Amino acid sequence: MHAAATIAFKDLKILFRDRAALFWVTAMPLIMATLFGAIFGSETSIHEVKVAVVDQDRTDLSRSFVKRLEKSKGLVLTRKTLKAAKDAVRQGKMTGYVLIRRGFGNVVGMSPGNGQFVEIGMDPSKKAERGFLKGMVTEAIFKGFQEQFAHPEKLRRTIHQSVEALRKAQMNQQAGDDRKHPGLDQSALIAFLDATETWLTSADTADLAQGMNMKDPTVVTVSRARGEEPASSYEVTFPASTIWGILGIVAAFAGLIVRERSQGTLLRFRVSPVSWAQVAAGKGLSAFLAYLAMSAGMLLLGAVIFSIRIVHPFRLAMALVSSGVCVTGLVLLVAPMGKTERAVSGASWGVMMPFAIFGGATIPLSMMPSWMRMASNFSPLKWSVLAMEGAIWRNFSLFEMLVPCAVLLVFGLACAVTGSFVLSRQDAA
Amino acid sequence: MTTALITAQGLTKKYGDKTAVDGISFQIEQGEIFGLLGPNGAGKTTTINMIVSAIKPDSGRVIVRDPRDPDPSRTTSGRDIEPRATLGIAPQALAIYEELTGEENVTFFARMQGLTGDRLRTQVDWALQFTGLTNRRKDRSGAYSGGMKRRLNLACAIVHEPAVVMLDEPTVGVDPQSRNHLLDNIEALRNRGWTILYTTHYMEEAQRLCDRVAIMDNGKILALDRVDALIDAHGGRSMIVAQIDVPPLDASTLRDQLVESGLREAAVDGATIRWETDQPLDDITKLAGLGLDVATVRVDRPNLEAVFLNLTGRSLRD
Repeated sequence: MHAAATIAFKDLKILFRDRAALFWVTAMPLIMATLFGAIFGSETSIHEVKVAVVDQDRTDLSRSFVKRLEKSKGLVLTRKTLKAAKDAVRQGKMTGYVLIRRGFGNVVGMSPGNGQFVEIGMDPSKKAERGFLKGMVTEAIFKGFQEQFAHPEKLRRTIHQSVEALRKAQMNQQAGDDRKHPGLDQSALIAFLDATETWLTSADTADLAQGMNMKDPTVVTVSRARGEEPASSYEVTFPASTIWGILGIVAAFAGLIVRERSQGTLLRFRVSPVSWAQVAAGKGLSAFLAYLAMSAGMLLLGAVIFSIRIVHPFRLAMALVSSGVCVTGLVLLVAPMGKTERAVSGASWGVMMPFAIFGGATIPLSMMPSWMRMASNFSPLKWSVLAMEGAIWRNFSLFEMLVPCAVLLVFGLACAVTGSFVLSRQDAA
Repeated sequence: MTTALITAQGLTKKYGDKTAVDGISFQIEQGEIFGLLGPNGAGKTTTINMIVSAIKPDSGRVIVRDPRDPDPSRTTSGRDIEPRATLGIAPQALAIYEELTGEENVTFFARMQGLTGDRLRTQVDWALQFTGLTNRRKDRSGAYSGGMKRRLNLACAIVHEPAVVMLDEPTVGVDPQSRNHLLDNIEALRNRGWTILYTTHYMEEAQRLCDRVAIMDNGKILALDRVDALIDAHGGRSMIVAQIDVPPLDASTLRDQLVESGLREAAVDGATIRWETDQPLDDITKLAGLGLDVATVRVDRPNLEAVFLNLTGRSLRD
C-alpha cells in the first residue's frame, strides 16, 4: 500500500505541474458548467417561441385576439406583413407565424369554415413547437368566444352575421354556385343560431360568462417530495460538466502509464520490491483521487458561488466514490490501447467522447430524445451524472441511489481488472 | 556453489525471424565491473531486460543471488520480487520524471526501493552528492542539461546501494566533460567494491572501466575474458611507428640495417619506419642501437576495437 500511495502522489504531483493537463481536468469542466448553467438559466431562454403575427382583418376582434396571444407565456410576438413573416420563418429567424385573415372578426366561434380565417405557418423542424403554438392559438380563440358572453349585444351581432353568411351560402348553392362551401347543409346550425340569438335578448349572460371562465390547469414540478425542485440550472449543469473533467483525467493518467513504459521508469519498478499489482493500484489510486478532487471541488464551488444545495452529503459521497471507481477503471482500460502517449491520447478521446455525448456532457439527460436516452444507458458517465443529480436535486432515496452506484462500481471494477491484465501481459511480452 | 551474483544460462530471445540474443551465458562476480561491448543492435539492452525480467527469454534462465542474504545458497529467478532489491538499473532511455525536481526523482525511487525515514534522507543526500547534483537538487529535472540528466539517471539507480548496478549505455548523447564526470563516478563505485554490469559501444569506456568484457555481436558472445587477455588473444600485435629527423639518402641501406638488427618486418616510408611486433620494448632497444636520429617513437598497442575488428571483420562504429 505504501508503494501504491507513493506512485499515486507522484502522479498527482506530475499532473499538478502539467498546466495543459490541469486545464482540461479543472478549468474546462468549470467553464462548461458555468456556461451551460447560464444558457439554461437565463430569462430569455431558448424555450420562448418567436412567432410573427399578420393581422389582415384589423377588426376589434382580431386585435383583441392578438392581444390575448401576446399575453401567452412562452410566445414572443412580432407584427409583420405576410411576406416578411414567411421569409422570417423560412430563414429560421422565427419559429412560425399566425395569419388572421379578413373576415375573422365577422365569423368568430360558431361559423362554418371558422378555421380558415386563422392560419399557422410553421418551421418544419420545430415539431414540438407546432403543437405548442396550435394550443396557444386555440386557447386564444376560445377565450375570445368566452369573452363575448360578457357582451351580449356584441355576441348577438356576431351570431346574426354568422347566420346571414350561412343563409347566403345556402342560397348560392341552390343557385348552382360551383364554388365549394364547407358545411352547406347547415339547417340545424342555422336553427340553433337563431334560437341562441333570441335567447341572448333575455338571458343573464354575465353569469354564463363567469361559469365559462375555465381556470388554467395547475402545473407542479415532479419530485419525490412535493415542493422540492432544482434551485437553479447550475444544479443540473454542474454534475453534467464533471464529464469534461473525466475526459481530461482519463487522457492524462492513461498517458502517464504509457509514458512510464516508453521512458524506462517502468523498468526501474522491475528492480524494486514492488509488484505489478501495486503499480496498477498506484495508478488507479492517482486517477481516483484526481477525480474526487475535481468533482468535489467543482460541486463545492458550485455551492459557494451558484447556490447548489448539497442536501444529502452521504449520498453525494456514494455517487462520487462510485464514479471514482468507474473513472479508475476507464484509465486502466484505455492505457493499453496504444504504445505511445499520442496513440493513447487519441484512443482516450475516441473512447470517451461517445460516452461523454451520451452521458449528458452536451445535451442534458432530460432534453435527450427517447432513442438517445435509451442509448445513454450504455454510457457509464450517464450513471455518474444521474447518481450526482439523485443526491443533489432529484432527491433519490438511499435505495434509488444503489442502482447508478452499482452500475458504476461493476463497470469500473470490470474495466480495471481487464485493463490491468492486458497491461501486465504487454509488460511481460 | 556459485559465488556469482548474476548467472545467465543459455539466454535466447527472438522477435519474429530476428534473433536478438542467441544462447548467451555469463556470470558476474561480486566486486567486478563486467562489460558487454558491442555495436548497436548487438543484443546488450535485450540481455539486461531479460536479467531484470522485463522481457521473458524464449529459452535459458537468469539466476540472481543476494550477497546480503544470510543463506548464500538461496537464489531466485524469474519475476520473484525479493531479489529485485539487490539490483539497480540506469536504463539507456532517461528514466526520470522531468516534471519533478532532482531530489524528488531520487526520493521517489528510493521510496520504491523501500527506504524510509532517516535512511531515506541520508541515501538521497548521498546519491545527489555523489553525482554532483546537490546544488541543483531543487530544480526540475526537465531544466537539467543532458549530462546532468544522465547523472540523475545514475543517482536514481544507486540510491538504495544495490548489490549489482546495471548501467545501459550511461554516457550516450553526453558532452565529453559530463562523460568524464560520469566515468569518474563509476570508477569511484568500483573503488568502493560495487558490482556493475556495464554495456557500451565505446571501446575506450570498456577498456577503462571493465575488469572483464564480453564482446557481443548479432546476439552472440564472441569472446569473454579480462581486457588484457582479450587483447592478447585477439588484438593482434603492437604497431611501432618511428619518425627519424634526417631521412636516409638510401632507403634500401636503411632497410638492410633494420633487417640485420632483427627488425625484419619494418617498412620504411620516407622518414617513417613502421612495423608490427609482439615485443615492442625489445624492438625499440634494437632501433636505438642503430644510431639513427629518431625524433619520436610511438607504440600503438592493440585495443578492444582491434579485438572486435579481428573477431568480426567490422569496426565497432560500423
